[in-house]
Amino acid sequence: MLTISAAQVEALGEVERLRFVESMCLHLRNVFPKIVASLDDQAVKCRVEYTLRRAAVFGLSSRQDLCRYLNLAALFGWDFDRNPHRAWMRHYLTDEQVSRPSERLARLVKESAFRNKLQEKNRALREEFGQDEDPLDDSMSEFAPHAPLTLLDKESDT
Amino acid sequence: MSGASSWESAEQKAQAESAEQGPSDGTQECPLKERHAVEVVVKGMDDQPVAEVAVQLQNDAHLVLRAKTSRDGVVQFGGLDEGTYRLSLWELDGDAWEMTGDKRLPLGGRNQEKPAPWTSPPNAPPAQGFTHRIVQGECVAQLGYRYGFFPETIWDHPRNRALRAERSNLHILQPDDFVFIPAKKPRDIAVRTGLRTTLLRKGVPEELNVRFLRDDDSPRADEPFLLSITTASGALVSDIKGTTDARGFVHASIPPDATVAHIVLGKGSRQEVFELDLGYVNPIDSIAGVQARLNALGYPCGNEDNELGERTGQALRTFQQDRGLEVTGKPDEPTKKKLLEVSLS
Repeated sequence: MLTISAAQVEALGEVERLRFVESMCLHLRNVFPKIVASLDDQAVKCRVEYTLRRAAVFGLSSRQDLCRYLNLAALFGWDFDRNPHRAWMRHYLTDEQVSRPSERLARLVKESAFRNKLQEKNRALREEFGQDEDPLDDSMSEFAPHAPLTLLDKESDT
Repeated sequence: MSGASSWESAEQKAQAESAEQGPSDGTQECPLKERHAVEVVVKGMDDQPVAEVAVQLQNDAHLVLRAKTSRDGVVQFGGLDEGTYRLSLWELDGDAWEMTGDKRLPLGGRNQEKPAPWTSPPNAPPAQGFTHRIVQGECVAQLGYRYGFFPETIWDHPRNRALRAERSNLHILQPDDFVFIPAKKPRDIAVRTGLRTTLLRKGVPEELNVRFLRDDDSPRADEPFLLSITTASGALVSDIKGTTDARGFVHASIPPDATVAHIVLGKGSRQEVFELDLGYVNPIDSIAGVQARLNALGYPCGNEDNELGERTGQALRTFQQDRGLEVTGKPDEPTKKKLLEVSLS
């Protein structure tokens, strides 16, 4: 009979977790090369670890949800969930009128994609009418300078 | 690589990841049994999807699942046992929505999601009516949207009889008017797994009708316009591009909580920009209401301060002269009647 101790289960889980972090680092390099271009591997890993901890605060745990959350962080800023200018995003993640954390994230992803398309459409229309761009520009960070990660050491609040 | 394509690639990668328990958990669930889904789509009176509608599914044990519609108006409840459930738009009055149809989901809604996380419904205080005091910019349509009613349900309520007698238009109220908001009537319907149920949210959207005239009162017909809307909730709204009709009207469907309409009329050197505070026009029987209409018609009164000062008196005299009325400089009945006729509300 094969006996696996609790410590071994924990160790196996940690190995799996580290593999996942590595795969997410690679994912950032592949899909968001501009955003992580100035970061060395350790800095990218640091951001992935940080983002996964933030995702856990919102009850997210599946690999799919963690990857989606990381995508949002890469596009809207590593601290997007604490950025007062993006309070609407936090509202989606904490909306108690939606039972499942995974569903809250799915709604946020949908809304983010929708807003991005809508802003592009509105911007094109305003240009056609010779109007200035929307002053409340909520673009994804690949269009705008990426916000610095300022809250890495301040994770106590949610 | 553009932002949009990065977004799509990123989402594809996420979709390829497992939706099961995360990387820090060494355990795995048993093979999943087949489960079922209920899907709901909420549409407005213009047949367009309505977002942010709270939806609740209840099982026989009185446990609930709660979700909200996305921009496509859709909510899906997966991980269900096959059967019938009770569905409600629990934040809305029972008369503010109705079922308009259902159809079969692809694959009959079968899925292999984890069992739905049923929970006990939160304790809610007993529904009670209350009185709302109007502030500038509010009308019954906005209150209906805010409190989850079809506007006419509020307007036609017996306890608002005195208000109806005083104000003929539910869209035009005076600050410090009192509106009774009744208790919501609860309502639910039966839905079966495997079906997409379509619901109608009554009273959504609202219609915006703004007419543009030249100095000689001829309509500004066939002019291009761009309409941008600001809402009380801060929701991002699609700009609307169009052309004024033969009578100079801009017609558009807008969210009921729209607060400002920003209209760019015309292009090039003849372009003009208008910013309209929606719901801000007071009833005609107030001086502020007279001032608002005179200002909109090009008879400047200055601030709508509800005072019959020199500028307002002059604007009234000019208006009366232009319209062939007796020139009194006062908001008499024939003048108010003509103002309502010309300003359309």
